[in-house]
Amino acid sequence: MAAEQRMVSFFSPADLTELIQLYSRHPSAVLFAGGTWLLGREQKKIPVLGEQVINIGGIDELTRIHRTERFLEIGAAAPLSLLLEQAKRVLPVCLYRCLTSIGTPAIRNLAGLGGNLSNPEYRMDSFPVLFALEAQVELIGPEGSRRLPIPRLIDSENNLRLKPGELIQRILIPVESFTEELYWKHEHNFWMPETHLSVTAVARMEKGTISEARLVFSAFRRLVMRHRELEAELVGRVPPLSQRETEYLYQELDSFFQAAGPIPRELDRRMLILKALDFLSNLGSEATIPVPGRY
Amino acid sequence: MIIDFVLNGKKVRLNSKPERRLVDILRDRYSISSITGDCYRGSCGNCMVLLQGRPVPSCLVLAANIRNKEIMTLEGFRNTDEYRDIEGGFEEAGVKLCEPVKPALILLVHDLIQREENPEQSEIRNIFRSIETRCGGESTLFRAIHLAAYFRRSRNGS
Repeated sequence: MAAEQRMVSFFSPADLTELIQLYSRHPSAVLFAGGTWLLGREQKKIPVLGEQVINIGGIDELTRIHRTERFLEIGAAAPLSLLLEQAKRVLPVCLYRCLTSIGTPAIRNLAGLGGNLSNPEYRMDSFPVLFALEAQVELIGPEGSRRLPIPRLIDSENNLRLKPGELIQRILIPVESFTEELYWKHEHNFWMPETHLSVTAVARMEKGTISEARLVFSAFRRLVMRHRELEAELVGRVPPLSQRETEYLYQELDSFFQAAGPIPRELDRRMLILKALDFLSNLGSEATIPVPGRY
Repeated sequence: MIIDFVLNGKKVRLNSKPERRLVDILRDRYSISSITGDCYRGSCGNCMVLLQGRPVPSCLVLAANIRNKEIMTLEGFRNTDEYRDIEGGFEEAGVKLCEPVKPALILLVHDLIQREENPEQSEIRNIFRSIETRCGGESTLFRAIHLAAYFRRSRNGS
């Protein structure tokens, strides 16, 4: 009943300028776009959102999807379904697969990438993929706009590194082509974060040799790991990898997970490592080459 | 807060708290009976409606977000040719839809065949993953959806 009696100030700014002004005046206001997380976690007839709510879902600048020569620019509040439909031909395969694994088709009509990145429970869906793609976020606030590489968006406590009154305006994905991409997610159920594991891998091959490889792992909806030294070591190798190379990579990744993790269960470490090794071992084989626009 | 919106083709005006959920507004104020869900987290699919033509769980939509928008529930959708394509597909395949999932299944199938003339198996499977339906075996439901898509294409002359 207490929730029924509370007064909520609900603002619906018409454009980005009005939003920035409102948000600077009310920096503790809740930003509401798709609302799938805010409403889904509440599970009450009248959700308790906060005393001030700013509705940002209808702001054109936040829902645009645009491609320039260098970036695919995705408005933070653009519904995922819109992104999957409008940018199907240009979305990296790993991101496409990741987005289709988020929620249900109906939830994807509401949820956006900005919302996914903003909340600590859902973040591990898109964050590792954007990390592997070396995406950036464009933040906007009273002091203007600035860009951050994805890993710098969150601090060691898993909080967003935003200044007061600042919000995510766009996600910028570099336009690059990879020979092969992988997105694999394992999760018994969203409500069991301890079962969450994911591997995102992208690689570029030149004349049968690995010229670039990026491997990003996530676990338990809170850990994200990238082994840059190993990625550098992979450059110049010629797949298929030998037994010796595979064993070396297994050991290297296993110690990395134990040190960087911790991922205490051997079974979890093994699942992550085997997925990555499977990807690396099949590099260059025709069966795994993605066809643009076909997922 | 005064909210003007279109419900099943009719303009309506509502005085509501902005943070009320659409599912409750539709049930309590407009006696929409096709909406049965009460999970309030968008997972059961039983409160599905079309918002601006796209299916969404109405429990995840706030009153403030429907201002000047168009909402269609199964009651309104039943009077359209699009509904008859889907109904025809399911009848032809011999599928009797179970009541609680009917709005979700019909509105999701409508959205799919509206976007894809020949929906892929993976996209159809995505629908079944998102709702718990026991209306028929997978192959029968696949056939029903392909038939619905065929009826839609024939009607549109493509």
